[in-house]
Amino acid sequence: MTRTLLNRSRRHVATTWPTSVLAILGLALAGVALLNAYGSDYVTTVAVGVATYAVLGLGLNVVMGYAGLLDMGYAAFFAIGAYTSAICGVHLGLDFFASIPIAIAVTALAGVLIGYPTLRLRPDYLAIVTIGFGELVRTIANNWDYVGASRGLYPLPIPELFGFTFHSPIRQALLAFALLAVAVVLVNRLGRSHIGRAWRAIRDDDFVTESVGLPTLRLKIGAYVAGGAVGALAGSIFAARSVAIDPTNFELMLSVQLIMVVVLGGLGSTVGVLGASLVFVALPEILRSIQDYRLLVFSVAVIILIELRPRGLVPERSVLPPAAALAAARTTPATTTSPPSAAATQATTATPEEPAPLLRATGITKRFAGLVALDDVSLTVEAGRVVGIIGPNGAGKSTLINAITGVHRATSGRVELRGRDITRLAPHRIARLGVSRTFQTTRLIDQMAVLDNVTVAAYATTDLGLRHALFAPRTVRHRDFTAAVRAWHQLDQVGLTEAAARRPGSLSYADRRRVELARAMIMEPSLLILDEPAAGMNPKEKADLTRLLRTVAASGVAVLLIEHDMPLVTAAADEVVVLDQGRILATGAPTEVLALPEVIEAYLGHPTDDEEPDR
Amino acid sequence: METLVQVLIIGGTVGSFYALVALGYTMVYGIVRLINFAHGDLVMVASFIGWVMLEQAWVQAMPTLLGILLAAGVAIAGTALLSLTLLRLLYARLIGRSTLGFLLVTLSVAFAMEEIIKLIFGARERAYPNYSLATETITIGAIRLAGMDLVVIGLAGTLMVGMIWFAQRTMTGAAMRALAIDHDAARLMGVNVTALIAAAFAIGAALAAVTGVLSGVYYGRISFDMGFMLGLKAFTAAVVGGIGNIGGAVLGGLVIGVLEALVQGYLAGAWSDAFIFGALILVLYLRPQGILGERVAVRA
Repeated sequence: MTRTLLNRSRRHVATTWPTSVLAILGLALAGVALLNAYGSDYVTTVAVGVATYAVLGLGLNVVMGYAGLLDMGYAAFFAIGAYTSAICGVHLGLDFFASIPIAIAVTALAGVLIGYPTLRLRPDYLAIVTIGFGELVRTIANNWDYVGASRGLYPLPIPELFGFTFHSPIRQALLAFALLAVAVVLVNRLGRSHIGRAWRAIRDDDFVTESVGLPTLRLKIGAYVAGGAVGALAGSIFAARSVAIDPTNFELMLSVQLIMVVVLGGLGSTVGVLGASLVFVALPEILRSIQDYRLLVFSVAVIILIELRPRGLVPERSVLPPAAALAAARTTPATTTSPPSAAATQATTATPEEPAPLLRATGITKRFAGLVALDDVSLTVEAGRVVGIIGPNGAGKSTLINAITGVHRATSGRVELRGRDITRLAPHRIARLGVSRTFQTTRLIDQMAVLDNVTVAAYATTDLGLRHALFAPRTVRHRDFTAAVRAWHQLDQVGLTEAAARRPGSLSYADRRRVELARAMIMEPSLLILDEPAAGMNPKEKADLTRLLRTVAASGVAVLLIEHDMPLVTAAADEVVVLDQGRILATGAPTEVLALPEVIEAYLGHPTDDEEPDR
Repeated sequence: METLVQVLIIGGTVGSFYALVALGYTMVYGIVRLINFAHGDLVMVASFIGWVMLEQAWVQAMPTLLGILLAAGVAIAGTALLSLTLLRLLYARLIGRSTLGFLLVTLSVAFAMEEIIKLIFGARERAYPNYSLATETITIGAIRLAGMDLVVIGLAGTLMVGMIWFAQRTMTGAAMRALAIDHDAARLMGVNVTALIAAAFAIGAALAAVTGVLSGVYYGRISFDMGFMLGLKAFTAAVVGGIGNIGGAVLGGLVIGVLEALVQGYLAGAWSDAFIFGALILVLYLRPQGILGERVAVRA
């Protein structure tokens, strides 16, 4: 009950930004005032402990809840933050408040050093490396005399701001709650921003996000580092209120307990983390007898929670724009549908003597350990043309697409986009240059509403950064609104607006393909690659698709169409390329190519001996 | 020179423990691509089962070797059963559905097992009976070898050779290797994945149990929190050797064991964990697939 109320108020607050900041700061101050009026020093100290824990939980929530990365050594960030802040105070004589940015910077650097090599690998590697990192940091702290080795670092200076010293528990509580409020505001802004949406998408399918232009690796490192920065903030708070810090404050068990707090609070939920921190820290203080069983109880609770809803570990929270936005999108006249894409303007300004075609692939060869999937394939696609690629299964059609879009690097050969070499670029870079695609087996993010699935691809064309996410939430919200309206129009183009708020899981096969098409189109591609878009569609839908493809091409976009449906290819394509066993068998106008005997043979095979006499 | 040989022997012993545990990680990982965080604590549970057995008067009345073998046998059976029960009840439904869920559940199971053992046996260390072999030494020239080191290395070595033989020469082993290379292809060839997962969990648990009883006899002391860090180092060994690769687990275990012994013998012992985990991070920078491993970078 309280939880839903809190949630509702949070959501309400979220719609008016400055109010939300004030409200959260006000709540923090009210908490301190309550402690001041009614709390003993002991209660206040416990409350500061809760606040520190809550900041840590919020930071870990960015890594685990938002981006879905398991960080098992989060205490390392806490330690680096606390030690940096303490070193600044003890050894360098720096003011506490000056030490906070330094602590955050040092922690962020450590985060990049650990995150970069690890996040390239499978996700579970992060878990193991971060455990190692946590132990590494603790071992160093335990043995390094400069930071007092196992004795710890002391005495830590008392923070002071304009002559106001934070020496008593209640003053420390003021500091801790103020910093907690800052953390809540910043973490919530991150979660609601375009970056937060990108993280949620990555959590579900980091292959798709890469293909729609999201710099996946950079975003993952970003989540890890952002979480680390919040941990550093918690470390600073810890150093500010402690007389001494020593390595026992930063053991593996702390990381494990924080994971439990975040999981039990509900991954991705700020209120949940705050509540769980309160329960985890304060409850054992009240009930001394459960102290010994705390870890057991929490372990069992985590097991039960996950076993009961393994898929729903992360509460699904739609980031659909307010109803008003959708209403506005609905009423916007249809004439403004899909703004003329970059490609279109390019195409209209293109003069016949322009040398480079839109896409030129030359001599593409791809080998997979002995198997030659593509053998010296060359292909040119001009803007405004639909080129169909046909061929029997295993002919190398999907491999060719993967080579063009950067998913697999070609063994040899060269891919050029408007004369620029893109052979070795990462998939998200190629996507950002204007190549978008759909997948043979649809890949949508099932945890997100259909509209969000389309909106997430708008990230590719955004110029917003972390700065905006943290400090310009209005700009982010405005852009989100615009992106949602654009996504709405794209859904309108494929006739799926009524499904905008639904989850992709409930859509038919053909509808899922259409969502993919809308997602590809919102990126304003100059080259659109469709991998069997008509599979599962009925004749009426195929006719609609053909018309849509012609419209898209007419706006100046080049379309590469892989399809088995010959009538559709004949109707939609200007030109057909036949692939067979990794080689180009024929190229030309659809009707001519499909009549060639070798093409028919490639599809239907050699006449067998039994059939021979009949012919 | 003499010290170097002794350090290497100690490294070989510790490395043998890591290798035995690493084999369990690597077999499970090879099949389901998931880390079982509770694996290290199976070593701990096994060492307690063994301790309870060895404390029984009727076991103590038996000849020493027979008593230890009996205790080890019960520990192996009990741990394998525990592992299969956990797989059936908790893990199976998460495999292939939720990576984060699997990692979190095994992590929680690890700590739940530790807390339960702590509730039953208390937080203090428990001592294994004293065996004469544990203090026996053999002197070759200037080098003094502890008898137990040789026993551990010999026994573990036999098991490791056996595991490599199992992986290379048996149908089950071949199926496991096939799964590690190409999941879908192996499935299409009729490999029974569910049965193989159970086999990997059971064999891994058995090897962990051997490690548990053997390390109890070797070190003489066991405690509720001995398993997790051992598990982490063993996992590090599996990664360094090339995760999913049975030979790699053996190699990685020995490399990590010798590295640890060298740091403890020649540098400062307190730094050895920093070296091990530093080595892990370095390996992931330079050769993420490990010494003998295959490609691990994510590209769908």
